[in-house]
Amino acid sequence: MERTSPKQVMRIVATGPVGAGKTTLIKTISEIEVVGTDRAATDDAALLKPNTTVAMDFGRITFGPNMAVHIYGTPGQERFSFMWDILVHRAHALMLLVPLHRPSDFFMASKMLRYLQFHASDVPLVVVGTHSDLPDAWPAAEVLPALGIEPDAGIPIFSVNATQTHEAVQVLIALIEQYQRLTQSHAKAG
Amino acid sequence: MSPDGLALASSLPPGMEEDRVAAMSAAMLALGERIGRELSRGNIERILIEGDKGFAMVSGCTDDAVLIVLTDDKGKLGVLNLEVKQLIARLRPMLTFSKSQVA
Repeated sequence: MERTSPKQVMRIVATGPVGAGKTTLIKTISEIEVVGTDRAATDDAALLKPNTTVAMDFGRITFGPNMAVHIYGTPGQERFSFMWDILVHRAHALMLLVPLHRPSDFFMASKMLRYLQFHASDVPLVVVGTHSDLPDAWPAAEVLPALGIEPDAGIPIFSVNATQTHEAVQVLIALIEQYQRLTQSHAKAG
Repeated sequence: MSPDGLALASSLPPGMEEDRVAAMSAAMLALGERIGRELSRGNIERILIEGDKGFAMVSGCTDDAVLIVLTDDKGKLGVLNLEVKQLIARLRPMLTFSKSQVA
């Protein structure tokens, strides 16, 4: 009898500062209605947007019959860092979203990056510069040094408008490829 | 706390951080409400955590406020339920602002 390969589920976690576009990106990518936990913002986030994620977002996209990507979004504020712990702990791959037009958030993004590198050092990571359509957006390549990333660290950076499906999917595909290269090299080494 | 997890007022045991408790309560209620909707449980009144050292009960209070009550292991669930219900009834008018009051 022919063996069918089991369905592979890959968990991607999208994190980054408030208003980077994590919920938007997941809504753009997901093929199901996103499971969200938005509440009216009453902190500084209210200056940027009416609602903010307080627990997590969840979306899904399937590639063929045997592969599904589950994408989780974290809250952006540091008071929700316990949700980062919960979600990052089981992630296969990570996205750090950085709003390219708000340099004041780069410090928070670099803090989150250090958190990810400490707690999930062996998990593939991409940096996703968002709001690239805005006139005051920084060029993505110039953001890496601001985050404290060495140019030869091998962390890819993208520049996207999170509302554009083709741009968001490009990031997703790059991350999946990076993950598969890693698991293949592990399999060879093992 | 507010539904987005900012503490409004608290009285907590030493060592518990107000900001963290507020954020966790808001996350728990939001997730519970979302799960309640998914599983067709209607409006969610409370989320209960039962541990061997006591209960934690999260309730929506008004549209702008969430309440969490902690008990030790001697807490009785029936009494807790009653107290929380009465507390919310007292808090609600204090935490509800009509538009004319705000303006």
